[in-house]
Amino acid sequence: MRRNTHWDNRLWTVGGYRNWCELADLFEPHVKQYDIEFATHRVAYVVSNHLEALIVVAGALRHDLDFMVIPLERCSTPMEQRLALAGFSVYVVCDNLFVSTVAVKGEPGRITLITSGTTGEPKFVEHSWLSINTFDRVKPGAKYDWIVPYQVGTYAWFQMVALSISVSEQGLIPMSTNDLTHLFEEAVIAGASAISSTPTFWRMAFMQIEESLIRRIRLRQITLGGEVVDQKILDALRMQYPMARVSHIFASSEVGACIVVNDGLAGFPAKLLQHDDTRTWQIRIDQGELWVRSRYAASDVIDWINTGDLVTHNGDRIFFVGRSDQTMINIGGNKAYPGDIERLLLSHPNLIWCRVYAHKAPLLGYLAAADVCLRPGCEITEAEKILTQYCEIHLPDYAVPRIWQFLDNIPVTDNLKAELKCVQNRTCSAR
Amino acid sequence: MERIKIKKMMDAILIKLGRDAVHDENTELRDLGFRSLDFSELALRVEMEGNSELYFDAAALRRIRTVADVLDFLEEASRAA
Repeated sequence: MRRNTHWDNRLWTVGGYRNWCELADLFEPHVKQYDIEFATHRVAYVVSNHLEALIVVAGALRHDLDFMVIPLERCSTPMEQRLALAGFSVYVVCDNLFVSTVAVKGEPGRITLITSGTTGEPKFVEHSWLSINTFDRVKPGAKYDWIVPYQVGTYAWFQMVALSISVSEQGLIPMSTNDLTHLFEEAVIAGASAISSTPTFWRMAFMQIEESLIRRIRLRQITLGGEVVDQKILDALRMQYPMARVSHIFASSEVGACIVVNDGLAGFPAKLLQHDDTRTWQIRIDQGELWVRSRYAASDVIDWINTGDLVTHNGDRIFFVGRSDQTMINIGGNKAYPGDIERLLLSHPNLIWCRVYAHKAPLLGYLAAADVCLRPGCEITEAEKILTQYCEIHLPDYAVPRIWQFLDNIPVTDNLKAELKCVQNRTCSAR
Repeated sequence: MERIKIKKMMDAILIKLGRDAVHDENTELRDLGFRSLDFSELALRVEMEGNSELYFDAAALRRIRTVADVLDFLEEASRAA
């Protein structure tokens, strides 16, 4: 198979495995273990750690299987039911056991990803190795050992695997994000030189970790994705890691990775809207929404896809301003936009993170509400007053958040994105 | 909900907005700068505290002019909830 040639002699520097073939070999007993018929079926491999996941991916690619990998902690009973409905047999790798079987023939080479579920229930998104691997045209460059904090089986995780397989000298250091201090300590020991993560990951790190520890990692490449990247987080990273290149990437499970920005500024240059045949993707703006056409899109995407991201053109730059499905709060007939309010709040020096949403309210229908995390050391008692008055200066009165919740930690999904919040009902308790 | 508790909530909203707390319940709302947004927030906070939705009598609502009217109204609405 053509794709087998991709993983010869690629180093994976962690765990003592020298290359992807070696990992693929470890998968062979599993193939022999089950009825040969099932090798042609659609299988969800339940894994208990990154190494198992990497073994599965290497082996499944070698055999051109129809598969997905899913971490044990996400494989609840409802998830098993969803997998069965989607035609997956479920195989628990550490037990060498099928826990459920569905007699559905697979499509060779189909790889199913699971989304992080930022906006609701996780979705299954179908790809192939050719669409996942956005690094097929990348020339070998600097050697990096990457911290991989993403959850197994997601698009971002597969991107890191593809990078390591396709580009020489890109090592992976898979890590749990349960304890960020531990992650940073381990990253120092492992000699990590690069990291791909979300803005939320860094906001949490800046809240929880001593600055001296943050600076001890000798990062030379920082890649951000998965969420809107604001100027504040770019500037904070530049200050902590002056030697690192900071990139941000627009990517999603459906459209794949496309826009890459390396100039240290939020948003992306407007000139990227011009058609360019040398690129693997094109973008356009239609009624304020960003549309993408990419050769790395999911299998069922054959043309332009509406990303659902709202953008605004400002000079020679395009900025993300919110999601089309969560854009407006109707406050007694006035329209307030959570993205605008969030951007203003994030410009306040006391704030490290926020999310703004609609809260049902008597008489006016809705009021704006905000969940926020303050910078460590900021006093919470006066914070509501300070932030309210700050908003009053810059926003119309109806757009000023009325209900505030001060959180100790940023609520995150398993894949390091901040959880979004839908409309809150009137009797939800809040501060 | 007790009237004094509603009054404290009202004061908290006014202070948060950089205005003075209520000293005289006969003060007119427009003199206090207490707007419909503020009233909605106060009613919402009363709901949250009581963990139940309030039901409003539209006619009574239209008659509200002073701080005392607000307190009477919300006290009654929370009792009925």
